[in-house]
Amino acid sequence: MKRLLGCILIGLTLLAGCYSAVELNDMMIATGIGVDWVDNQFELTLQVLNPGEIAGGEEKTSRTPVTNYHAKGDTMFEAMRRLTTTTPRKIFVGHIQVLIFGEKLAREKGVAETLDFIIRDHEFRSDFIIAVAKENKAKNVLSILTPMEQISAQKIQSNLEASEDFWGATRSVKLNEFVQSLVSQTKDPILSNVKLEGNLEEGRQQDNVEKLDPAAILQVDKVGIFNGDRLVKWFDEEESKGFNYLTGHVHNTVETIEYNGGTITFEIVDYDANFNSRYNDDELIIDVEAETIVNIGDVETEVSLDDQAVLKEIEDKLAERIEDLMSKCVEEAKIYQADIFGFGIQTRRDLPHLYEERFKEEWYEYFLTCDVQYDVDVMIRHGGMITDSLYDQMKD
Amino acid sequence: MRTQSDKKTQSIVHDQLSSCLKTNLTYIKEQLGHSTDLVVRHLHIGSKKNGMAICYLDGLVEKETIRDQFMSQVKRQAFSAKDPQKLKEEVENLITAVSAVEHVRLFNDLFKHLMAGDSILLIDQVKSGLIIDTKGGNSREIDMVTTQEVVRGPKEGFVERLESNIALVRRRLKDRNFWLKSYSIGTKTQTTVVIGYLNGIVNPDIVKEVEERLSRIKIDAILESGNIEEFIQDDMYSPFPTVYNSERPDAIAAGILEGKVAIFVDGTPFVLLVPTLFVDFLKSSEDYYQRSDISTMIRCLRVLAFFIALLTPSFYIAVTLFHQEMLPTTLLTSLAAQREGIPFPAFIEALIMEVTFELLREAGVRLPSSVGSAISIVGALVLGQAAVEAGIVSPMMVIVVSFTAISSFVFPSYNLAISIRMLRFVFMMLAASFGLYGIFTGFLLMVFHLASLRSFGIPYLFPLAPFSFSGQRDVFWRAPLAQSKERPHLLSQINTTKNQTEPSSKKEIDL
Repeated sequence: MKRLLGCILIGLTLLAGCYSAVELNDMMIATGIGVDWVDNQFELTLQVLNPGEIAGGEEKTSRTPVTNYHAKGDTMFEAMRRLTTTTPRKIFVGHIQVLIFGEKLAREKGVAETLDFIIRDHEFRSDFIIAVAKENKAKNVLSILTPMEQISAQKIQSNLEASEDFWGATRSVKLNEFVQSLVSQTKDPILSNVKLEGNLEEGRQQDNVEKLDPAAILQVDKVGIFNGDRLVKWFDEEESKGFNYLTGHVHNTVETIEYNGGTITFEIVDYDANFNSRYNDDELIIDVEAETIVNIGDVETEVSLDDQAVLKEIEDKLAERIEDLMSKCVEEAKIYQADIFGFGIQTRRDLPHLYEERFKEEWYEYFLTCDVQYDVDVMIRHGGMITDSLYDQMKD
Repeated sequence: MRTQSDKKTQSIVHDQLSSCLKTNLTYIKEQLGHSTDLVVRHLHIGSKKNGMAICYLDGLVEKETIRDQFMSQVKRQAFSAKDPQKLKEEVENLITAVSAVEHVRLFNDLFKHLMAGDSILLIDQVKSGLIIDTKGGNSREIDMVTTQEVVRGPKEGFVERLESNIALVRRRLKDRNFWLKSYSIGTKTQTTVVIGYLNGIVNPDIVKEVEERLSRIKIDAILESGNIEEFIQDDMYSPFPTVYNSERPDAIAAGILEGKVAIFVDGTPFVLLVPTLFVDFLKSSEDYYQRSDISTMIRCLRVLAFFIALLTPSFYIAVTLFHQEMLPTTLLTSLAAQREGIPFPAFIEALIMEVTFELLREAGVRLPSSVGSAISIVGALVLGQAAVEAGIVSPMMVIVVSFTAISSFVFPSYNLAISIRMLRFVFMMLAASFGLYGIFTGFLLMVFHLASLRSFGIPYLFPLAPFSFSGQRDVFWRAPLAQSKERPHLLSQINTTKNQTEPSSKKEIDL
């Protein structure tokens, strides 16, 4: 009996084993996917790594660090499988860093149809970043050779994250977050852009990365708002920032106010915002409360920073500036009927009964008429290494 | 041949010594096949020629004792008695002054003593012999330990001589309750096996069990304590050792103080200790000599090394074959670049390197130390570097194997390292077939097996399973001595207090 059991166990190990095993040198590691809408078909661009060119310690040849493959199909899955007609190995998508939509797809077709496959397939992660190629095809954006970061998909990902952390006009939206907003009844998604600056043809050449000043670079600077699954509007930089201020996604940024005929620039070092809903006299009111700690970074005007009253005045001015950015953004979003902030979700949390009775059915009407009230609290913490500005000192 | 010898020694009846000296001596010589190491020396008693003979085995006896203290005494003495019995008493009185004396009437006993290194004095016309304790001869001096070296702690180790080994422990346990019991095991080797324990602390049932298991052994030869271990261990087919062995007298003394039973075997420097717990193999005697904080850290390191040595190659196989999404992208890229152009699957690659390493290790152990360094050069340079450069194995695999190898040398006891070496291959196979799922299933089964083991009635995983809170003071955490006041619970339930030191008063000294 024991021997029989042993034989069965050994058989199980040796005969059934190795299912789904793939050797590392039998697979291609994909880092980025681009989707475009061409001739009523999806055009898929897959960026795969050329490990020998990227890994440290290996001898480099003149081959590119990444290679792109393209395929068309009526559905995403079909296009993905058609890719294998050109790829030499099995595609491994577990390390996808970015998913990029072409603007045409995002505006005309809508992105929802592309996502079902990506979420359904178990190999895809759900935490990679999504962006839209601004006024361009995803195919083109992914075909630029980038300096510093050899893998352009990785460059887009870290670029989005860095610019969100230190500038605050973009948001790195991950797949799961995007899908949650997409399926939500009230919330609308946003995505950041990836812009190709410069000459596309030159950017595709190897010598793009051999120049001090590359001929083509990729830039991320704005947020685009969606209505449902369609891109409807690119925010400008101020509105994009306002959006991040309102949703509390600013970590560190720079803000300038005018004062006394010159300017003062602040570094926002700590920022926190949240909003709540209340219902008052038949009017839905959203209270936005923000708190921020700032350092004075650049003074180009005459100002006595050792005066408490003056400091208070500057603080108020900065608060006003932030409120201004936020309200601009809200006004714009209202025009396109896109509740990108999640006011609806917050209202449901704060006023559950009213939401069920009244708002649920025609939320967007309430969204358009709601009154957003801002309360920004600014605190200046450090003035930097000098007190009086150089501007002042030169005068004396 | 047989009939001839029977005829010649027909005067020997029932194995009894005959009263004729010559007959006795002939019988002894014949029984020993006229072996060259048998020495027979005839002595005169007064005027009577060849009235006495002493025989011993050359090399087993202390020659000085025989020559200086005994022979010269007997020669110088003018024995007055004419009656052989009286004469014998006189001789006995004389020898008692210098050495222990016993009587022997049966040849069977006579040979036993002869083989053990005693000298036999036979007197004509006397039907019994005198056994003189002359055990001695050459054996290795007490030396530095070679297997369980420490930075701080006693350096002397056991040797092949049983008496020296017991003395080494006795010197550390000056307590009349340290009791020893001797057995002779092996029909041909007649190896002396001694069990030692602290009466009043040891669990008497465990002593009884040890005695019973020892007495069950019926074999012709016991050459090393490993032979004993195989007979008394609880589970013959387990890859894990359930008997601890050490070359260190302090480790054995500490074990006895915890209520364990030590088994000394003549002819080997390795002394056994039972019952044995799994965690014992992760402890070194130095842990108790260094400060508790650093000992705790080192123990945690050993636990880490246990997992590294057991699982690293299998993890590498599982992750690169099945779970590529678990690795950071940069690491995966680098691994993929290294595997580019390697002709073998990851499992075969790992197997090649692991087997190579095992070969090197085995070769290194067997070779004389003067050639040993050649092996390390061949191993490190030729095999490691050349294999990578030739593109047969990936550099990462070399790192994995080296890392595993270093970790497997961390254990203070060689026993456990062997089990891990074997199980590593099992885990590699599981990983190649089922990935992490296989590793975890295998690990689970291994833990089940460990939990099912017992060593002389004590659960092998104690104090982890069954969990004992007070037992945790000496597992991963080595509690400061001031705080550890009790002996391990399951081992001995009597006299558990071991430490009654008052906390120090921390008085300030006025200067």
